[in-house]
Amino acid sequence: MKILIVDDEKPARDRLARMVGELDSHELVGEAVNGLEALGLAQSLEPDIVLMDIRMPGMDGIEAARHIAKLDEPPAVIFTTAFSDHALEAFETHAVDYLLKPVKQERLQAALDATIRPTRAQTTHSEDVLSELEPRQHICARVRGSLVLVPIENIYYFHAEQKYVTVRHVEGEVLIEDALKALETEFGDRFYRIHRNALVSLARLAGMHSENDGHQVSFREIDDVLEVSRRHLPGVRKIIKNL
Amino acid sequence: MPDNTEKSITGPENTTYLPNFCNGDAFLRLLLVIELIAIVFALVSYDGSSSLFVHIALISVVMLWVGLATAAILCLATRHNWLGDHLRTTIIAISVTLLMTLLASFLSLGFGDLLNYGPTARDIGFTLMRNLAIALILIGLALRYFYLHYESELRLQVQAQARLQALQARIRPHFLFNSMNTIASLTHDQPDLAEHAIENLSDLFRASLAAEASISLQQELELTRSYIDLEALRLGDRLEINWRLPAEEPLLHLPALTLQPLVENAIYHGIEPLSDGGAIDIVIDASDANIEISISNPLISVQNADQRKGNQMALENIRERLALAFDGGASMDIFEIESRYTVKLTIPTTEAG
Repeated sequence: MKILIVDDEKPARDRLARMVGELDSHELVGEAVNGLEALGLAQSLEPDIVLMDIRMPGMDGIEAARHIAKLDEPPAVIFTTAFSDHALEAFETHAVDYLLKPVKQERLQAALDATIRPTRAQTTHSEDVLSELEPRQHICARVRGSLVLVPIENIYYFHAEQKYVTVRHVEGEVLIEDALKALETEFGDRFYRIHRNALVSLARLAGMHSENDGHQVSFREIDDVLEVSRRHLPGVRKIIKNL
Repeated sequence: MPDNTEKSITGPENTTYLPNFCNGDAFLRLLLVIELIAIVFALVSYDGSSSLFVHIALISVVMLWVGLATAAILCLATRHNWLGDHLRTTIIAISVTLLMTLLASFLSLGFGDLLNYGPTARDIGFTLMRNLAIALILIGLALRYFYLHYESELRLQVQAQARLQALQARIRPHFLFNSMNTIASLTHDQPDLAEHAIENLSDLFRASLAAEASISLQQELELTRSYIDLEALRLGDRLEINWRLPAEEPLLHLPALTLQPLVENAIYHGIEPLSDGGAIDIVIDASDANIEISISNPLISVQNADQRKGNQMALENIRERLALAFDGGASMDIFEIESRYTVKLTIPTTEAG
């Protein structure tokens, strides 16, 4: 199996690298120092297993694992952590594999040997588990086979159209498969539902005006407008007033 | 009169200050105490007109009956949660005792007539009043004793809890296990560094376990350096420390681990979240009256609620210990200026207690 090690601390990476090196059936293909780099290497090196630290600067291990789960053939992710009780509780209840640092050689071997590439159902499941822990800092979209990350603060709105959700952000648009309902739950403190099919960023909302029979909201910097449904009108009015 | 404000501290199984009368040991002890009191009473009231043993036996029967019946009823009451708060417990215990005394007195009067022993009918009123008075005094003493005992147990429990919390506040499990992992890694390739790391970790733990010791500023700085050395192994060049100390190190005693946790906080909240790391400034200024110790780190905007809470707890802990050590003469201020987070301690130069 091809192994990718992700940890921000060099001694921690060195130790895991040496331990993996001592195993015959596994091969170390790369090391990353944070979640972002891990995401890049997970695509370019195509590892079978990612040994992922949880607490890292930039993008943490939990968020990186959630994005990795969206790859076409995602590797299995085994978390490594020194101590992080609230994440561990979630892992215990959902049987996501994790190793406690300092990791024992036998435990590492057992975890690696037991790992088979997860099926689509398993990655969806683990994505659900991880989503309970904390909102992501990025939205991850697949554009022509590779992953594109959009920081949450750069997003104007989410707009649902049939099967996909359009994410309008500072540099353009991407399509994602997330459900609007789930996005609303995850980012409820930064985005507001204005219609059955749209969530808008509170930070980037400019105002509301009426046109014909309906109401529309506009955004700072861009010309896009979105329709406000009658049901959500009172709530939107209140928010516009407090802008 | 006992109050019930401390009730919430104990677990649900021990909300009453009464001992658990359902427990066999407590029951036996009660039996023994009652019997001893009965003997005292028998000796005091013995007039030599009958057998001493019969006299003791008769008084014992009455008193044991009252005591054990009361204990049994209180046991039942505890089991069914009838006791409620301390006031209610006290009222119930006294009422039950008096009731049982009344009952026992009547029974003993009846038997006394049968056996032709004890008070005659005209003494009944006096006997009843006397028995009730004795019972009231005894149950009063017993309840007072139970309450004091309960209070001291409670205090011990609270102290133990506080000590544990203080310990946990001072040693972050996160730090402990990451250090262990670093040492495990170094053991292989750089055994000298690993050895040094273990020495530093030992110093820190020794200081953590010495409860509320007061140490010199020099020793505290030593501990802080041990800590920084450990973190430097882990974080590499992501961690930069700028020291600015006065030419002459001031004479000062302060509670052990006052400074180190502040640096730990600075690293945990200010350096670790940064991919490229950052600098921590440790500045000590000495004037005639005060010594000011400032520790600052880069301000991180994105922090979740848990992290803020953890930071607050550590700071509160240090604030409390400083307040205790310097009788409120020391202060802790927090500034967020120019994208840096600074904690400043101001400590009077007069010796710590």
